[in-house]
This record gives sequence, C-alpha cells and structure tokens, in this order.
Amino acid sequence: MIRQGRVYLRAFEEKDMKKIWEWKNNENLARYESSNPFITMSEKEIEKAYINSSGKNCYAICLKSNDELIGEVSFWYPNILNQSTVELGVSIEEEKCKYGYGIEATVALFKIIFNNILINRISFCIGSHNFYSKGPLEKLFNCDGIIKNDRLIDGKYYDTYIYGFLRKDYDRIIHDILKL
Amino acid sequence: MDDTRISLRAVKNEDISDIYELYRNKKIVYNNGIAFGLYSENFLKLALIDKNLLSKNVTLIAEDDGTMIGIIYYECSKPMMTGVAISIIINTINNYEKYYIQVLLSFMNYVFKQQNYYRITIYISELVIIRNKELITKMEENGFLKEGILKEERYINGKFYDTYIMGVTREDKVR
Repeated sequence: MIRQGRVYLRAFEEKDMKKIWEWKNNENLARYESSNPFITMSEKEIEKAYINSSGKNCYAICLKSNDELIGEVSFWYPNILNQSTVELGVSIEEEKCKYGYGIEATVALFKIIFNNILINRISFCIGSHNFYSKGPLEKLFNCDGIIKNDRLIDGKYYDTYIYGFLRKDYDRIIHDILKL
Repeated sequence: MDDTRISLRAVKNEDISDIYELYRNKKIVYNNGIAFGLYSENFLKLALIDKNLLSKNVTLIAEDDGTMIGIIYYECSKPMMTGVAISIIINTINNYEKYYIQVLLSFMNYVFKQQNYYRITIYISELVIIRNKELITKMEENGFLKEGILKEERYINGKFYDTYIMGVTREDKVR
C-alpha cells in the first residue's frame, strides 16, 4: 500500500469489480479515457484485465478517510524496445474528479516508479477537451508537445497534449512534490 | 532512385532473419537513433509480427527494387484517434535522407489514399536529426510540422536523446 496525501494505492480486489464495470460503461468518463474510449467491458473482461492479469502495473486509488475506491492509476511501456520511458494514465470517478485526488495518486505512482524502476522519463497524454486534468498536470509536468487534431470525439477534433517528467526533476524537487 | 521503385508490403515470417540482421548491425541501429539490443529472432517475431494481432500495431517492409531498405512501424489501435503514429528504420547508411523521405512519401500515399486516416505522427530520434541535418527541412517541404520534443526519451549508447514529433494532416499534404 502506497500512501500520498488523502489517497492510497492498493491492488484491485474482486469486490471492486462492480464499480469498475460502472466506470467502463460510463459515457462521460469514456470521453476522457485515452486508451479505450467508448468501448464497453463485460464483467468477465474486467475480471480478466484487473484480477487475473499478473503483469499489469495497475493500482486502485482509495480515499484514506473511508477506504472508498475512487479511481485507478497505471503505467506501461509504450515502446517495447525503449525501456527508458513509461507512460501513465489516471482515471478518477466522475463525482470525485474535481478535488485533486488524481494528482496525489500520480505522485504516489512517481514514488513507485522512480524509487524502484530504472527509467528516466514519465510521459502523460491527455486530450485538449480534458480541462479537469490540464491545470493540475501542469503543476508537475512540462508540456513537450501538442499534436493537432489528433482525436475525434462527439464529432469534433481535439488536440493531444504530451507531458513529460524526468528523473532529474524528481531528484531535484522530490520534497516539493511530496508536499502536494 | 525514383518514386516508382519504392514499394511497401506487409511483413512476412521470412523477413524476421533480415530484421534480425538489421538489429545486429550497430551502425545501422545507431544511425536510426534506436538503442542497440541483443534481440533473438523469436523476440523480434513476437514483438513485431505476432503482437500485431493483439495491439493492432502494423509492421511494413519498404523495398527498393525488391531489396528491403526499411521498416515502418505504425500504431492505429485507439478508436478515437484520427491518425497513425509511426517510426521508420532505414536499412542503409548511404542515401539515408533520400530513402527516409521516399519511404515516408510512399507511406503517406498509402495512408491518405488507401486508408481513411486524417493525420500521421512520426517520432524521430534527435540522433537521426543530428546526423541528417536536411531531414526536417525536407519533411517540412512535404507538409510536416514540428509539434513537440520529448525530452530525454531514449537512452542510446550511454546518453539520453530527445525525440522529435512531426505531424502532417491530409489537408497539409494537399497544400
């Protein structure tokens, strides 16, 4: 269990499946998913992806105050031949996404990644429509690029913002980060 | 070398030994700005061919008059994404820039004329740009715009190098 601010990260359990099913079938949340938007998941698929998958770096985000499950955070290698960069993704349930829990979960994941895995860079991509994430992300990450008209959502084109965070920045500002 | 001699085709199991030789050649590997690794044929087959079915990553072979001159990897797995993200490896050191542009133009024709994609995003190592100073200019002449720089994204031969992001849309290409 990794604690940070008001949240902690833990492994997914079978009791979480009902809530994940609701998230994966929620139209509003799907708009902000960068990987599988508008793809619904059955209970069986969820169980396979979250419980029976041994190699997945995916964590449940829970509130310290009442142990409520509020989201998920995960990381992966976008390029199998380039092991110096990981990409991460954060998803917070609709009612809780305005309170900064996502950034606390991101910092918790930073601790896991930079203290245990020899990578140099963390990337994070969001759509320009994702105004909930943009402000908090820019407190931590540098914007490395904007890919124009990269996404088509509800009939409109949106840009993709690519953010980056380097190990040397983590080493330099670790104390400030952990105060977040 | 003219446009008509460059052709693209899907990767075959028989290509794995050529790809294996390419990845064993340090000069070629560094010239393409990728990290050198001792990959087995089985690993490459798994990473570049078998995995394609699951991840919807596609590997294409570029040929000049029947000889493999390069490989294109592209990803088109995300339903809401309007384009493909690609990287190109050229299997030669001589005429690198010329071949790179020729392969890219062939791919642009394929993606914009045969596939209904709106844009192409290409990731290029800083190492390629250092060694091929005209490449960015030539890409810009063909409608590409520089959209970002991923800082210290790749570790190559003991140093971290940036990765440049270049992008082109169907309209940019026409213009």
